[in-house]
Amino acid sequence: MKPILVIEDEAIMRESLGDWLTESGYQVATVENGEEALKTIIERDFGLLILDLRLPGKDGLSVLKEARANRPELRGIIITAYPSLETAVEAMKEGAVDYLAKPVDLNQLEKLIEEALGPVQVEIRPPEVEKAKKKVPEAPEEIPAHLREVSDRSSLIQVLLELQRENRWLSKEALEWLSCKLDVPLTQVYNIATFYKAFSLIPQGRHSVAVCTGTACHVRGAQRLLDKTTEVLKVNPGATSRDLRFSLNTVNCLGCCALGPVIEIDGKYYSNPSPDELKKIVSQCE
Amino acid sequence: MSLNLTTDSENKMKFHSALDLENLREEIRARRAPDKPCVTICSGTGCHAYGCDRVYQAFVEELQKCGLADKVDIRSTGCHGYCERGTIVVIFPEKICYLRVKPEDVSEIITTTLMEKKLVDRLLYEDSDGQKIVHEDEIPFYKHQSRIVFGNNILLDPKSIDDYIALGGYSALAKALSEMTPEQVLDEVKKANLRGRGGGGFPAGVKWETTRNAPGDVKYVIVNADEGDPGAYMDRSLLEGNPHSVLEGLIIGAYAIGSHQGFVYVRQEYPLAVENLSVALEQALNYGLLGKNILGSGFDFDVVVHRGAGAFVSGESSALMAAIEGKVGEPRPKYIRTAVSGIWGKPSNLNNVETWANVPLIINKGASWFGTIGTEGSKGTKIFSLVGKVNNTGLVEVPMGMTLREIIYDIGGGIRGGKKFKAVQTGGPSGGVIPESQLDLPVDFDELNKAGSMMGSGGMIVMDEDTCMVDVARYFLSFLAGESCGKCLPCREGICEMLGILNKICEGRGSTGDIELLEELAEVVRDASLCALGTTAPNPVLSTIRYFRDEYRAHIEEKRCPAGVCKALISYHIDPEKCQGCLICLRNCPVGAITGDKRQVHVIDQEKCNKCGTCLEVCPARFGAVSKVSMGIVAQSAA
Repeated sequence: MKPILVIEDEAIMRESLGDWLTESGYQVATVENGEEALKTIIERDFGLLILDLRLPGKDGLSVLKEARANRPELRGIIITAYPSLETAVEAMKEGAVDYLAKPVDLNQLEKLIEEALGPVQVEIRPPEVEKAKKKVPEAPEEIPAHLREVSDRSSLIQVLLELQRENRWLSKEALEWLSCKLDVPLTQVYNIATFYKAFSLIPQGRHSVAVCTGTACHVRGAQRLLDKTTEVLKVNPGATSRDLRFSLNTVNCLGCCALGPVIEIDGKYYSNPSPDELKKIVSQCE
Repeated sequence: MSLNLTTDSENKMKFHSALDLENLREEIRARRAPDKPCVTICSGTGCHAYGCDRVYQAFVEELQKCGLADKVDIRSTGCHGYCERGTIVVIFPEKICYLRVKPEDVSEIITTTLMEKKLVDRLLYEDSDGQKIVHEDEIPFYKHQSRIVFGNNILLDPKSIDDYIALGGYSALAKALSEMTPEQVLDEVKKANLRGRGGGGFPAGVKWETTRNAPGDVKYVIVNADEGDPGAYMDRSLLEGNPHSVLEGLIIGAYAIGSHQGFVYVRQEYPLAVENLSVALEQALNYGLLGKNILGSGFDFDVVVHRGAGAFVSGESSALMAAIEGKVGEPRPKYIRTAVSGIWGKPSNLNNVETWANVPLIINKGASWFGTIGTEGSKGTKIFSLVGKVNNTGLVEVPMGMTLREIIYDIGGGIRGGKKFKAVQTGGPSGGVIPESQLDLPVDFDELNKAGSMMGSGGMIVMDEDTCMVDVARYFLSFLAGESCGKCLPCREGICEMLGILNKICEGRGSTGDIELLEELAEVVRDASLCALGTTAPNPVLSTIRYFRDEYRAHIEEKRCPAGVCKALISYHIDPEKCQGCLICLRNCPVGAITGDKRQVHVIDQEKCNKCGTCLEVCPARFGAVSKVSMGIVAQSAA
């Protein structure tokens, strides 16, 4: 669709009209006076002029006349704070689509623009952004081969789960790559990566230790088990040991409530181990 | 396990009609000699914790050694439910049930039971009079149950579709597809008045009808296996132990609703469920029970498994559907129900695992049969996770309307360690506690609501006199504060404020008016929150206040925790009369708060003590010198 040129000397009116048109989905240029307008029209192919009748220098009607002399297909809408029958008739003779009195009724203006240019074809993304999106950077090393060709946006959570499992954390590079690859805004990727408990934005230990704090475990002493585990591992709940050997976390329910309190170490479940048993299990973890 | 899997997946035969299915059923049954001994080993998650895989391995190796490998079948089955006594081994055809089996017991079982046909007495269940019980279904824990949904778990290998078919599996699907119209299937489920087992108790048939009638050609059906309620694990055991029953229900539902795409949303914490379900899907696809033109009926249906990523709120229907779309699992306002506009704006019918597993039963046996079980408003059975301070913990399936007393005492065997019953918590973080005075309450959707709690997904956590009710309320609110998605203010801020007050009370800093303030906040959170997480969040607080107000008062006014749980309000003491000076507590104290010498009375330095309770735990029972007390301000000021 061809752009619209607004010719208006009053700054507030010019800018607000320009903004409103942009928001409505049109491409817009604004100028202050007739001379400038005629210069701009030569440089760029406009579809419609919206002109104030009274302008410094050349008035609106002369501008419309000169402009149409060069480009007869150009349409114009005249707006004025001083409407009169004579100027209205004159305007129509010079090829104006219509003649509107200030303050402008935006609904009416919209209808007139649509008549002149046809309905807006909304372009959600400016063309430059479109180009940037298509360039997917090379996948960082940590992305396993079977995930390199993902394309379905709705698989985002599943892919993140896989990545978390493979690398035990989600790096910035991995998230940025995924954002481009799936064409999902980075904020949305981070939104998901920080919303779910399964994801970690810092590296997790080689061995995952989870103490269940579900209700059944809670009433049977989950806190004691957590304290014991903290002491044996020398890692606080939610933290990872410096040598990246262990991560200790609490989990809301592991679903083996009958055995509570329960601890899960590398996918294996243990029912209320004593400190000595814990030490033994832990010593087997490299 | 792997043996069965390969036979199934290698079997590429596709059913083209209900008759094909029946023929295969006959063939499998004929192939299986009913008298051939079979050792079944429970492989539920509970038994995995006890090491059932080592028991299984021991059986394989020992049978090989004894030259019995081809004379005895071994089957690892789904969860038997009596998790307290795992690993459970049942020997067929005699159905001899051995409990707490360890790998070292295996050779004795083989020589004594399988070869000499005698019993291993010490592995049998022993009742309170010392009587040995041989069969699983005669053990009190099982005797009072009606295991119509859960019963097959113990008979089949979850990774074998042939096992499921041999037990009559997929006959309901065949019946629905070949003998019934979708409308008839829908009517049957409506007539049965099957209510959603996930918590709300909404009639499944009505929900199906809404989705069926909603405009649009594309419709979705979903299994909600995001079992987030802490303390509940029946969905896990069903999906792990009998995935085909859930799948069969789902396909039937899809046929009734007119959907061709299904989803199963499984919690990330349940890897075995994902594994068994994925195997089941592949097998069903190979047999033509999924995919195009199922059983020659012209009906097409596919299922995708979607793993959750650890968020309680994702169990809420609109949040779950957002997660399936790959978005953040946050609820949305439901002016338009998900049954009309769910996944990608299409009509989407969501039911819980147990609800789907009930569907094949209703189709096979009819709505009127289903109606004979349960109460007026709640039909059928319900599986509960009976856990906490009860003797027989595990999964129990009982007809709706059984009283709490029967469940806790007859099935659960009463309270552990001869303690006194205090309350039972049902409905997870959305539910409440029910005190002793209400033990004769018949358990169904409506009665539990009246008592200020709810059915929820079926967690039943038994609490004894050593459980502090203020701490329980605090526990649930701290859970909910962590799980609130934060989208709406009343839930996000309200729960935090309430939690702050409860923390204060538990730490002995409560003040007069706190209870009333809690009640006031509860009202706002309940009325103004966006989704059910918020609107039901106050339940644990309100119900504990309703039944245990005195306990709150003791914390606030006397700074005393009657149950001896709240750390700030208790202290540990060594009785000089009883202490033998054995050094055990002294050596075990992690903070070095105990002083004394060999054969000298030990003393706890209250300043240093971090109240971990180790001393109480390690003091030999024959001395019993350490005690935990909560004296409160009266006693403290006197001292």
